Parts: sequence; structure tokens; C-alpha cells
Amino acid sequence: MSQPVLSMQGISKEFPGVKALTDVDFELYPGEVHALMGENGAGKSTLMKILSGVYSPTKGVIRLKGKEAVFGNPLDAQLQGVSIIHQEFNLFTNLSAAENIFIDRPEMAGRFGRIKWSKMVEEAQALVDSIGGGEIDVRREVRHLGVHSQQVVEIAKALSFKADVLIMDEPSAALPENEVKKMFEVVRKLRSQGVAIVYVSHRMKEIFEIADKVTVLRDGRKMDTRPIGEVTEQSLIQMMVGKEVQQLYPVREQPHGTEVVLKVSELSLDASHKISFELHKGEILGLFGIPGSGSHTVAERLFGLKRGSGGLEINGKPVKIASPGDAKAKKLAYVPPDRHRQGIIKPMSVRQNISFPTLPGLSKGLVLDGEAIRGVSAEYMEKLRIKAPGDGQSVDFLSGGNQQKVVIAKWLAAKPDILILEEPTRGVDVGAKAEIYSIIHGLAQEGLSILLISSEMPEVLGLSDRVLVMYKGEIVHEFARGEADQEQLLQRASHPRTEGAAI
Amino acid sequence: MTTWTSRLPFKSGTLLVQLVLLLFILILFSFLSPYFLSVTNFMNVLNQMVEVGLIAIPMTMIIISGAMDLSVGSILAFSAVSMGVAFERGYNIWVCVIFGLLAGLMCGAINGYLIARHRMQAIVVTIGMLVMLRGLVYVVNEGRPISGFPDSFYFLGQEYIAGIPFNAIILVIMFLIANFFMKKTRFGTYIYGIGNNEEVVRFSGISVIRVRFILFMLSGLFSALAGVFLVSRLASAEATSGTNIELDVITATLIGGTHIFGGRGSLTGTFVGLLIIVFLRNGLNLLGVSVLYQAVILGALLLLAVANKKISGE
Repeated sequence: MSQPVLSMQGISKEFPGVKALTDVDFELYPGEVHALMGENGAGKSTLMKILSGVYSPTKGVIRLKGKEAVFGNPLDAQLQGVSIIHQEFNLFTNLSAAENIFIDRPEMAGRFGRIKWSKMVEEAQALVDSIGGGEIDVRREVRHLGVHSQQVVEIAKALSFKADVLIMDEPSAALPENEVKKMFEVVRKLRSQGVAIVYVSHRMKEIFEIADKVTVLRDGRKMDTRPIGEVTEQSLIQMMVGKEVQQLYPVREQPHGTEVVLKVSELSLDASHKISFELHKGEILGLFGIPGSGSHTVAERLFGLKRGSGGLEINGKPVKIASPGDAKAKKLAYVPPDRHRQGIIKPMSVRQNISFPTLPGLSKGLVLDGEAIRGVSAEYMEKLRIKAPGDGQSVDFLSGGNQQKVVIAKWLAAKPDILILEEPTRGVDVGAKAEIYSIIHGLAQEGLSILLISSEMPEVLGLSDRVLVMYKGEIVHEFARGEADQEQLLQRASHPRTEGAAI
Repeated sequence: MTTWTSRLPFKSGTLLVQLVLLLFILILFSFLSPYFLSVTNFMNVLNQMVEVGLIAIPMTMIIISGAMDLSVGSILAFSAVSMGVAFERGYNIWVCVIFGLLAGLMCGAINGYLIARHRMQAIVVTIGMLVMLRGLVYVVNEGRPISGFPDSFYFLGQEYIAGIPFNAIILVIMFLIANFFMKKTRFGTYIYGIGNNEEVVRFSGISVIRVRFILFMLSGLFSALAGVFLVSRLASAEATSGTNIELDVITATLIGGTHIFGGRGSLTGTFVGLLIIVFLRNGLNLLGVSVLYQAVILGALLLLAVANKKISGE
């Protein structure tokens, strides 16, 4: 093959306290689909953000078509020929496809800022047609288009900048099954036009179907780049996971109880998917799935944030949960995945945040009992070792790990029987991670039943007594503690039931 | 950024600025008008600020929760006229008062139902109610004023106790109760919580719907109460009652330091903001400044108050 269209050499990126990328080389040739793989936190998104101009690297050089390139910001990168299509589309749904493709472009403006409509529509249609989107009328508002067509518009927008390099971040995540095929056709068309495509995905099946080459990152380092013909699923997973043993996880001293605390039967996740499982007293039950597997919906349904059908039994009694308030009354607690949006009220104090869900119990009649509130927050600040100058400190000023502990504390204060933890260590540093793991472990030892939903494999495997694997709205496998390693877990999580069973 | 106020030993710099502004207004008009600095004038001012003040209580809470109620003036008129019409039918005046209050409560419940339960935009819903109720008021009494209430009823708006207007005493008591409610009960905490991050409140197992509903009910009730006091003070229930009162109420709330997007604010601030605008109006009136210029000055003051917050980086 000829010259690489893009080459990144010795790229390192440091954030305060974290080294996200170390000395990564990455080369991309025209007309190839290059898959980029790695676990969560391996550095994929950091690398792509550097490539698309969101971050600038701490060290290293980017060469575009042989010349050194510096991307000041995403628009700068786009103008130089590198475009990214995010998992979540960036379209103005109230504007037409043509307007979305050519928004804010000087060449589409005439005198006095008049927009050259006919030119814009013509060129937009030509672009969309060129990638096989002939059925799309670019004059229609984007909200009337299907998900696949919206993606085509996104791609056309990227191409309108004469993109040489197109980054696609989990492009199939938003698409229904039958539209993934259509997306592949578009990708192949782009490849034949000489566009270099970086395809970021967790899904093995797609990688083998579409990619020419694959690069694997782990812990911020590049493991290898190989032609797709030279790797197998096993070897890829091995590269992604590595073999390191971590002492982050406490050792279980006593087995958990046998009585069933939570029995979920035929709980609907959407119109066509239902799941059933049981959680025992003092058990840590892991629930693992790649994005789009529906593990998040399980939490939403259990906690009454989303409605549907299905039966729930808590301690042997059937219960109905229609709202988070019901869930709380039934002794269920939920530590949500996004603490900034769902977990903490930032300007409020540590004390106010910890006591927030349990204020009715911390009042004398109508009036708040200040002493009781201080007592509860002191108790849990100590128990979870929350580091703050005082309980009056606004949580906004705490570190990520301490904020996360505040969210856990506010739910422990509610004295739950069942604790749902979703991504409990997202965005916290390794030290805080270890602390949170020992907290989770300790709670289970005290008899709290825990449902641990996480996309971090080491965490799920290290903490859980059992692991349920989800794939597209179904539980496809169950592992006992110690039964699975990361390779097997990922294999089950990226396959439908039948294929998984065959391997 | 820090300003000189942040170095002073007060908790809230904003409140201090407001108090200084109030003092400045009081001193300025004392020099400019010989009638301003007198007990009679002060008591008059207090007597006249009660309606705006009563409505400012739930308005402050609603704005802190991140919403808005523009229908208060129309609810005031609707309640006042409902009360008047009932009185003309020959019911006991106190029965009519309760009837008026219930009318306001009902309007608030409709607002609350649409906004809390169906997540409709508060501004849109309350503008709808503002227009609709004002129309309804004209329909109900055909635009004529209703008067001739018994003397016992005028006690509410016209009587003085120990030289202080009875209605002003009620207003202060209401402010104290509401302030206690905001600071010392869980509902207050929920209101601040919703204004800062509604999602977290929902994820904490607390019904945001119920809190919002209660707030709009409260707003309806207090608007009706303001209507009752207004009728008592002016001895007449009119279809035009309370027109544009929402602008005064919101101005007082914002000058009082409540953040228009919610999350921050206090009833103490609103009370001071209220005093600022009523004394400013009164002083300008005494100086013979036309109502039109008064509006200009009041608007400028509001801009100044917001600018001060922006510039001091709050």
C-alpha cells in the first residue's frame, strides 16, 4: 500500500494524576477500515479525541498526508480532513438534512448572508446519493428520518468537509439490527472511495465482518496492530484483557446466605425482552453487558424509573414498584451511573446530600431534626471514610471518589435490604476504586444484597459471587465466582446465545 | 472574582447590598420629601404592599424550584370577583371569603396538574391561565365593580392594631412562617434540590410531581388571599384587580437575589426586595414623578441588581 494518510507517533496524554495514553503509534492508510478495540478505560476515546481535535496530546506528533498537523479544535480537524461521528448524533433535528450538512459554511452564503438554497440542496443530495442514501430527501427535517438515515446525514456532513479520515464511534450502537447491514454498505462505499475509516467498537462480530486491520489498546498503551486475517476472537480478547492479576479485590471470608431476597420474574425491558433472576441475602450479583445490552434498563425498571410489566418479589412477598419512592419504601436503593446528573446536588453540602433521601425519618413532625441529620452524616462519613473539611462542605469541591462515596452514603442511610450499584467506580482514581471495592465487600458481609451492574470486567469478576451476562436484552449466561476470566466473559457478552454456546 | 462585600463578616453579600440600597433609598427620599419620613406615610406604604408581598412568598419558592407563575394577577381577580359574586347572592361574607380562597386554590391546582403531572412548560401554562382567567372575570360580573361589603370585612385591609396595619402584620407573620418552612422543613430542602438538580431529587425517591403541585396550589391560594385583602382595602371587587401585579412580584423577588433559573434565593431577600420597590415607588409618588418614569426607574433598578450579581461572579 502507498503512504499512510495519517500517522500518529509517540502520542502520550496526561491528565492531572492519570496517564491516559503512553507512547501510542497509530497509522491509517487510504481505503482501509481500521478497527480500534480496547476495554473501557483503555484509552480509545482519549486517542480519538486527540485525533479529532478535542484534546491536544501531551507528547507526540500527528502527520496528515505526510505533513505535521496540529488540531486546535474539532472544527480545525474537520477542515484539515479528519471528521468524527459520535455514538450520539450531533444533528439539529428541527432543520433539514441539507441544512445540517452545510450549516455555517461560507461557501453556501451569498450576499448579505443570504443562503444559496438550491446550491445547498443540490450538493447535499449529491453527497447523500454518493454513499447510497438515494432514498433520503435532503429537504426534509431530520426528525422525520430514521436512525439509519440520520447516520447517513452525519456521514455526509463529515464528507462535505472532504474528509480523508472518518472516525466512527460505536456506529452500530444506535442502530436496530436490520440497519447495521445498511450501515456496512455505506462504510464499504466510503472505503472504495479511498476514505480511511477508524471503526471503534466492542462488537467482535462486526469487527470481523467489516474491518481490514485492528489495533488494540490496553491501559493506555498500544498492544498491537494486525491485519484482521491474522487474529482470532480469542487472540483479540487476550490482547485487550492481558493477564495481570489485581489485588484490588478483597477475599470473601464467608459464603452468602441462601434465602432469596429479590426474585425478578419476566421483568420487561422493552416490548420484546423480558428477564428473570434471583438475588440472595448478602450476595453480590454481577450483571455485565456491553453498551446496548439492556443492563442499564434493568436498574431503571427495578427502581421504578421506567414502567413495564413483570413480577417482583422482595423477601418472598410480591411487590409493585411504580416510582422511585415505592422502591425506596420497599428497601431498594440505587446508586446511579452518572453521579453528576443523577447522584449529587452540587451546591448542597455533604450533610444535605447524605440526608436527602431520608429526610422524613430525620424530622420531628414537620421540622428537620438538625442533630439527627448531623449524626447520620457523621456516621456515614466515617464509615465510608469520606474526606471533606466538614459536613457543611459543598460536594462540588470533593474529588470524584468522595462524591461517589457521598452517593453510596445517602443510600446506606436509607438502610436498604437491596442495593443496586451501577458503574460504582466510573471516573474515580485507582485508590478510591480500591476503597469503594472494600466498602462494597464489607456491605455484603454485613448481609446487604447487592446487584452490581458494571461494564468494567475486572470489577464484575473480582467482586461478584455470580455474574449474569446480558446480550441485547437477554441474560445469555451465568458464571459462578472464579469460573470465568475476562476472555470468556467478553465472549459471552458479545454473542447471541446460540453462537456463544457453540464456542 | 471577589468584591468588597465578600470580605465583610456577613454570610450573604447580596443581602447586604440590598440592605444598603434600601437604606440609601430611605435616606435619599427623607431629604427630598418632607412627607416621606413619617409614621403615617410608612404605615401607608406597609398597608399598600401586602398584596404584592403575599404573592411574592409562593413566587419566591416557585422561582427557586426553577419554574414561574405568571397567572397570579388573574387568579387574584378571579378569586376577588368570585367572592363578590357570592356575596351578592346573599351569603355570609366569611363564607364568601372561603369561597374566594377555594377558587384560587382550584386555579392553582389546574396550573399544578398541567405543569407537574404533564410536564408542561410553567411559563406557557400560566400565560394561558393569565389570559383565560382575566377573560372569565369579565364574563362573570360583566365588568362592573362589586361593593357594599359589611364593615366587619374591612377590618382585614383597613384596620390598624397598635398603629400598625393589620394586613401588614399578617404579611410579616406569613413571611416568618414561610421562611421557617423553607429553612427548617424537608419541603424547603426539596424545593432547593429541585431548583438545582431535579433529576437527583427524582433519583432520591422523592416525588417531584407532588412538590411542584403543592407549590402551584400554594401560589393559587396566596393569590386568592391577596385578592381578599385587596377587596377589603379598596372596598370593591373589580375585574381589573391585580392587573400586572405579577411584574411587581417577580421584580421584588429578583431584586431580592433569587436566581431566575432556580436553585438559589431566599424569602428574606424577597422581603427586602419588596421594601425596596414599595419605598422607591412611594418616594417617587411623593415627589410627583409620573408613573411612567417610575416604571423606567424600577426597570433600571432590576437590571442593576442582576448586573451586580453577574459582575461579582455569583
